[in-house]
Amino acid sequence: MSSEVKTKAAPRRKRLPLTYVVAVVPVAAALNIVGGQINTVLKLPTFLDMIGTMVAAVILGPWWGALVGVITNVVSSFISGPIGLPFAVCNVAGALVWGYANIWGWARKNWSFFLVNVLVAFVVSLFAVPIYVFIFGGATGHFADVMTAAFLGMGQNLIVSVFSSNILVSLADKIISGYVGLAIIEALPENLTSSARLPKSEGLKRIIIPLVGVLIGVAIILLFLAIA
Amino acid sequence: MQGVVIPISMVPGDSIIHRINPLPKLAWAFGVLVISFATRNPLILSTLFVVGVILILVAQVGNAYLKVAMILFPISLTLIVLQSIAPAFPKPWTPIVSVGPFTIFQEGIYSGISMLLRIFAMTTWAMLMIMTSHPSDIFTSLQKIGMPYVLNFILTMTLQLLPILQNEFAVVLNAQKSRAMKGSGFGAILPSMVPVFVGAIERVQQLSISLESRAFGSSGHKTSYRRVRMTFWDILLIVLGIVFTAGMTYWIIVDKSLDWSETMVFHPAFAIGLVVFATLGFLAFVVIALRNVLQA
Repeated sequence: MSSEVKTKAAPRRKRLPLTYVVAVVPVAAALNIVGGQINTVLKLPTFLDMIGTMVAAVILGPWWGALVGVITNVVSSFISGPIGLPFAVCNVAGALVWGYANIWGWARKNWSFFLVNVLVAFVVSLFAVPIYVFIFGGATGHFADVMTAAFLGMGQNLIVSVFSSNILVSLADKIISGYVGLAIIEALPENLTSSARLPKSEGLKRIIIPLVGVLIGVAIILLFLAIA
Repeated sequence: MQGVVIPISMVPGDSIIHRINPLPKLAWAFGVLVISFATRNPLILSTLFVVGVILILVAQVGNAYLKVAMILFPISLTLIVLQSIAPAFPKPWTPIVSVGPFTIFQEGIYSGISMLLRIFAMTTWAMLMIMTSHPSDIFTSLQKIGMPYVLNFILTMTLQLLPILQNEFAVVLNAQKSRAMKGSGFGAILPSMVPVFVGAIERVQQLSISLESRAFGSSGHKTSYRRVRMTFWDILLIVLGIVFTAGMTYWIIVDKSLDWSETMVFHPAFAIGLVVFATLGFLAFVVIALRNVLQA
């Protein structure tokens, strides 16, 4: 991965007109919802419901990204019921990490952008696990449930088992979301992306090997901890 | 993506529940949510669930409700399996029977059943509100009680954009397929998100200009295309909802005998039957999930 950066110096955040912001937020939220719906229909082993959040958090700022996250889950509840509503917290947490990482320049190089996505995955999992355990009894209705049962069978408690399975799914999801978001930001008009301090998008195929490497590495660590 | 329809869950109708203002329905749905989280008592939770289902039938939205309830089916199965072997209760747990490396616990069955009833009770009442109220009516009603106009606009706009984005996804995926590229899985979905989002943003620029030219954000009284009336009966329903929620919550907190976790004993045959049924469903779900993962 090259470390070419799009914007080297910290740019002054151009204040976008309220009407523009108010128009971008629903687009980002709608992209989240449609992404999540497609993911559900195709039964993919991810969530794909935070791509719009990532884009909004970077181009508009962390708190607008957080609003996108809340709106995504509120509007989703008008479509598939209120079970996803508590997970608005996860969307907000992801938006804040992506948004502030961009403001503080943590994601300027390719490797650091990758690590920011890993950080997002961990933070989101920290918020998601208590919701899964205390509201849904550890069940997600997702592929991760298989891994949860496997970790329980190895003698782990419910919270650790749910975290262990959720972090693997979350890592795959957030890294993919981050890089799809990066490709979207690069394709947007210049006036919108002046505040983005991100590396150049190099295509999704380039991240498959690091992504699989991270997933296998984390899975080995979790299995080792479970057996030990 | 073909055949993927994002339905807004409102089911048009003229039942007595449809005619109620969205605010009382929202108050009752919120009340059920509060009560459901306040208790684990299976009788209270199942009563709330059954009353919700009766109201769903009165509103004649049963078919649409069943579709949403089906979304909960895999979660229900895994919840029973996971809770029966790892209860969300403080230890020590009372074992009922051991199956291989797993032990089924008394507290797990109790916890699984109460969590399941809680989820179904909350979802049923929330869906009753959602399926019998137009989203714009809900937002207009909320605006009347102080929800910011900008937020109201964003929520309504998001709902309106959903079918547009969905349509654009279908167009992009069809274009990819017609060029012998992948039409399903990650390889098709992820690249199609870029043109769809960027296309939507270009449309947003026009929308922004329209909003600017209509003085969006200026102060003054805002009117709405949809008019939602509040009658005496609606106000009465809101008051009843608040009183019912407060009363029930107080009763649950004061009356410790409502906690049946130590007194309710499950017969081993019932526990085994329930867990075996849920496990078989869970395994079927695992097979489907694995097949989809491999195909993705």
